[in-house]
Amino acid sequence: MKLRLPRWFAKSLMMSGVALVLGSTVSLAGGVLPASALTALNVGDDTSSATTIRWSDQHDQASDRSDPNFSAFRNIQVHVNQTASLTHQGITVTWSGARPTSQLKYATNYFQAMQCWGDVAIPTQCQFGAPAGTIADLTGYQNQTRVIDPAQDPAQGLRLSPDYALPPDGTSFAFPFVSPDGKSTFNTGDLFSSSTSNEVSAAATAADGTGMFNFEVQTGLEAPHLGCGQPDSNGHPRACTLVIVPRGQFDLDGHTPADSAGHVSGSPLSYSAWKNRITIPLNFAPIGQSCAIGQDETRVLGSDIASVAMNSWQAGLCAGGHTFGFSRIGDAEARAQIGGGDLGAAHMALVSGAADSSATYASQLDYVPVAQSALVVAYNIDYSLYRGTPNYASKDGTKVHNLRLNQRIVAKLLTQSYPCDTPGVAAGNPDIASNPRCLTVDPEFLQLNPDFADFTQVEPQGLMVAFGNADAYAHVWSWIRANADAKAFIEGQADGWGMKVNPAYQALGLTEGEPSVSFPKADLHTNADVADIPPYGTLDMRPYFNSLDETGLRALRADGNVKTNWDPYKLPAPGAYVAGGPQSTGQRFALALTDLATAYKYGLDVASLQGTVSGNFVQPTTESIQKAISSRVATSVAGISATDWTKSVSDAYPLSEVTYSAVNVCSATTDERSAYVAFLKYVGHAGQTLSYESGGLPYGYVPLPSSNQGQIASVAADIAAPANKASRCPDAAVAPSIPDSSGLGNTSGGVKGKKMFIAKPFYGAGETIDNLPIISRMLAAGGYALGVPLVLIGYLVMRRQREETERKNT
Amino acid sequence: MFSYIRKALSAAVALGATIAFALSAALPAQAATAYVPISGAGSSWSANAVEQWRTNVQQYGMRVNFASTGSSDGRNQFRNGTVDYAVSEIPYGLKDGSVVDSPPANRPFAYMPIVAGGTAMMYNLTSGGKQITNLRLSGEVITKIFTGVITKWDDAAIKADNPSISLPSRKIVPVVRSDGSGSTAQFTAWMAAKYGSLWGAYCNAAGRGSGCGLTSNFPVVAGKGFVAQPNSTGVAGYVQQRANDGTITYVEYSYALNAGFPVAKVLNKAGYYVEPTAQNVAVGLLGAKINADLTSNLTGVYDNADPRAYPMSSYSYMIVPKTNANNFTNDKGKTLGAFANYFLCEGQQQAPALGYSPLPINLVKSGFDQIKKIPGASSVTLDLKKCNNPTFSADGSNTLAKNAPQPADCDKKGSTQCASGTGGSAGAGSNGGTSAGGTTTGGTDATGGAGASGNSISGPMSCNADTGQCVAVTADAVKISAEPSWTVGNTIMAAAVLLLIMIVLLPPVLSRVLKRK
Repeated sequence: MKLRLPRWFAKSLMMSGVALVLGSTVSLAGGVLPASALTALNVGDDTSSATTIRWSDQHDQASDRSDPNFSAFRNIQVHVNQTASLTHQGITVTWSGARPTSQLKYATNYFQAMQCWGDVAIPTQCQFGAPAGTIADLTGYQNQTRVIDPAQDPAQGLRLSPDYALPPDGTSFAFPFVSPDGKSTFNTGDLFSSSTSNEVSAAATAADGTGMFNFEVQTGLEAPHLGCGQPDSNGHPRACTLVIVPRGQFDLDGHTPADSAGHVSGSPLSYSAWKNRITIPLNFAPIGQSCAIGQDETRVLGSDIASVAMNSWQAGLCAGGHTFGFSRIGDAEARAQIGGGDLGAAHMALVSGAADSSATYASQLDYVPVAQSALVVAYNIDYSLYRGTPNYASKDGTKVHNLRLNQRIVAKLLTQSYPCDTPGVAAGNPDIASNPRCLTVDPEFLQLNPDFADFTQVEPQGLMVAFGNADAYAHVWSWIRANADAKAFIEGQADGWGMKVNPAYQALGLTEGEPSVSFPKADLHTNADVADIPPYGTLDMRPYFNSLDETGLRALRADGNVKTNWDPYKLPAPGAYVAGGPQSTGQRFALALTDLATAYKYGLDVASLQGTVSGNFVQPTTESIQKAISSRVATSVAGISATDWTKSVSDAYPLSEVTYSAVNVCSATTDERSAYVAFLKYVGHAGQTLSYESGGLPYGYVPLPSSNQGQIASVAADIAAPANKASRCPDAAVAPSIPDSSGLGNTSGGVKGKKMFIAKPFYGAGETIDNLPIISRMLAAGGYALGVPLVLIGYLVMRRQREETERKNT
Repeated sequence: MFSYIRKALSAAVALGATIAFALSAALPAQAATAYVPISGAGSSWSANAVEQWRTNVQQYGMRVNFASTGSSDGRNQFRNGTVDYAVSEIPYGLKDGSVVDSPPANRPFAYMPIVAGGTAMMYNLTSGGKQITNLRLSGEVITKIFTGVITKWDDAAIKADNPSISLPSRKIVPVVRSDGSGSTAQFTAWMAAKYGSLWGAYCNAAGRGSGCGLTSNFPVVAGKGFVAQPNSTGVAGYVQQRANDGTITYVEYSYALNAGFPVAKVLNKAGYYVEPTAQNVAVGLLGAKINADLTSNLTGVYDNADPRAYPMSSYSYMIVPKTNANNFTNDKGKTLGAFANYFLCEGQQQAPALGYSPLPINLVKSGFDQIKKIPGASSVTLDLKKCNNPTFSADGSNTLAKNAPQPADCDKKGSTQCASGTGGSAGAGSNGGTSAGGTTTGGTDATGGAGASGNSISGPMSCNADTGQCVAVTADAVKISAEPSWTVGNTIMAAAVLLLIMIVLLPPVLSRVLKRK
């Protein structure tokens, strides 16, 4: 019998088939990221969406010619290094063809910039008007505000809307902020403040007409009132814009600035300034779906260098049914806690090395590499040069992009051997009084970085480091000690120019025994600049920071939290030392020891470091990190490799780091081991794909070579069903194997026995929302299975019908 | 007629497919809930916990900022309206010298407990080139050290606390906070309550008047050789310098864990020297009296007679707004409420690993009441049954305290002394607890005790130093009531599967039926 299906039915079949296939694809996209097309890129170097826009592209040469600033703006050309697939990240904006900023910084000829929502830039949709205190003082009247002043800008006065009238009397005006949901408010403080806004209050142009700033792009998570990347009314990630408003040398009314110091005044949102804007469209990656709150977290402890990756993976892992919580603690403490029998809070840690073989739990831990990254010296430095020196015209006020450091210079920074890193500078420390005052005048530094000649007396705020212990910090010391010159320096030998180590550090034995796992702050001198006030010490002027994230952020803000200013009015009497706040733009000099992913996140430049032993200067890139890691040697602990610090490998970045997962296979519960297996499977695949979206591998990490996948699989298998339990585990009975070790997200078969005190409260593992994603995966698979044939059948039926119709017609 | 059915059927097929699509797409993770960023500042005592919470809630789409600037600064910023919340160990109203820390006049607020912990005595002391990691101190000795009465490590009173340690004849350098601090307030409150005359005399000498009682700003008497450092990282960072042999400070236990340094065991009412582990703090806090505004009276903690109780146990608060003054909004309230719900429950799981102690159920319950006072937080679902807090038990008692191990005999005041290391020195193993590396290792102690190899377990656990064996503490942590096994999610899923089947089967069947007509 010939089955004849009506045409409408064939159509419906096809439609539902298409819907099913689409639905399945979308639902899987969260867990299975597209194959890695990005891994070949240099770390932090995705230039595919870079864009260059000329002022003249967006302005009519004929009609704008009447603008008094026309000649100043007509040749401006702006370059942005990334404008698509954006997430919360730093982007770099550079320009050329602009007039140099006035000698009195930010009087005339500078740039202001802001992020606005929507694909067309509208002043009421822009995040602007919450400047940091210091910069607002440097610029002109109302320059950092949303104020509309018809007297100041008559052209704007002709364009007043009733919406701009400020309550209560409506006689003064400002731009309200209008959110995507249509809400309008003058209380922009409800939405953003100087600590959250990413506005650029003023950025300088150098004498050669170029300039640059880093811009923190915010998504709807950081700035919900902009909602960038969140679904718009069509379901697409909302586009936003970066608006750059060049300020020339005339006030908004076209006259020479009336301000006695010659400052251009008025808001960049005001019509006469706003019309000269350059608009750069920003397209966002969809904001990843967030995990459902309220799930029990599987605890993971570990090293700060894994923080950025773990933070991203958490979002991908919960989609697979396992929610993880990460607790950042030192490697040794983490290993001891997961090794601590049945008592610890967690049985998995992310660490940079193995437990000491003498530890009772050493045999209980399974290690496998899960991430590759690097420690870096990130920096935020402006050229601040003496007038009349050779580079003054071309570089003063612009940002430094090239910095080379060798082992001895890093050692000098870490040992407070420059007097400016010690209380009272040279006067307080006679032992090092003859050393170069600061990094910027050290002949060794200048030999490596000749561009730094002629720096004015800016104040580098030391090399910012985090508090606490980490294996990765020991690698910094190993790298230094492997270099004969640096080692000799720490041991008291002068460098070739007569500079000597701070004796407070010489006594520490930093070149003997095991390398230190932290950064000492050993100079105990104190100093009071004025008589009769308490002195300040090293930790007031060069404090520890909480994390690698904080050191990176501090570098971005050029704020070393230096507390050497005595405030006699600070209560209680007699007063206190207070922080001086961020360094002024144009005179920033911040160095931070952080990780590459954090540096990338904040858009910071990173120093090239001299290779191990001696050697060339190497930037951390995918290649240089991979090269360093592949030249590592195996250790006696399975899965763990170590750098051979006696070996010089050219073009290898010396502070490359491998992070290992360490799992205590003896004391982990069945539920925990299921979660750890799921973690490894995720991290071995989707978690190694470089991506701006949460779930993937954040830029700044280097994907593991595919050869590691077999290693990860076999360790996962051992965690699921530990081998040699009898010899490895104190109590072999504690570790039954997971029934189905291959099932990603399989949490069935939980042991409902006694739990340690910190255990997840028990309820059947199969009884929670945990298993929804599996069903969802099954659904998706079913969707494919049904959808694809449906589309085919529908198409075939339609074609036959068409053929029949045609036959009839002929 | 046929055309109508045809249209309806077509629509049903498409609709079914769309629903299936939507379900399969939406369920693995929740669509980004619109949380707005919030900012806070304050206590460095609690900062290690708050930092971890704010990092972990990023996966739930929340952006929570926190600046660890000290409790006094946190309260100031909240009063001035520059932050959405503050974290502090002590409430407003403290009279410090002539300055009164008045509550904000136009910003109604509530105190919410956030995490418990022990103010630890972290020290750096060597004897014969070896780091001492098993020091014990009585409350009176601690007070005399921090009031400049005892100035040498080999003082007879310290010797009496430490019969097994050969103490060096070295100057004691007390390290105190130079900034306004909740840790200082906690510490001085304890000294003022327990050793009032010693503390009063010291205050007098510092020119603060004998009644200075508890204070956020530690009074320093010139010439006593005290060192003042900013922030918890400052005092801990100062003590951990190898050159600073002889220093001692008061700081939250987590900083000692991070630095890989030992803390002194402190003598309690029952005559045992105890460490501020999660369990001993939980036991200690059973003696706390909670005031109506959720501030605490810790007198009962100081004198808790349980042999496991750590005397300087306390908890810290978040100061949350009750109105939308100072740029607070309902949207921010929703985020703050959800964040608080997280850290009162799931967030407490990581407290012991970090060096804190999870809050017990009575404080979590009270915390929930405070969440309800935050404008905009009413949409946050608070369910004590789903609260994954490690202290909860079926009978309402504190699981952690109930199962805390008794102290070892060698921790009893007397002629013996446990040899095992404390604080971060126990976990540091052979990597060394000292910042300067070198040959001194953190795990060993003066009496050649276990340290790195024998009892290299840290934090929330107890080892018997006599037998060298670590006690396995087990507990049945139970949810308040069992979870239903069939959830709404299961129902939706089942419906989706059914829909799928219908999408496939219905059209052909219907078409047959229709054709037959």
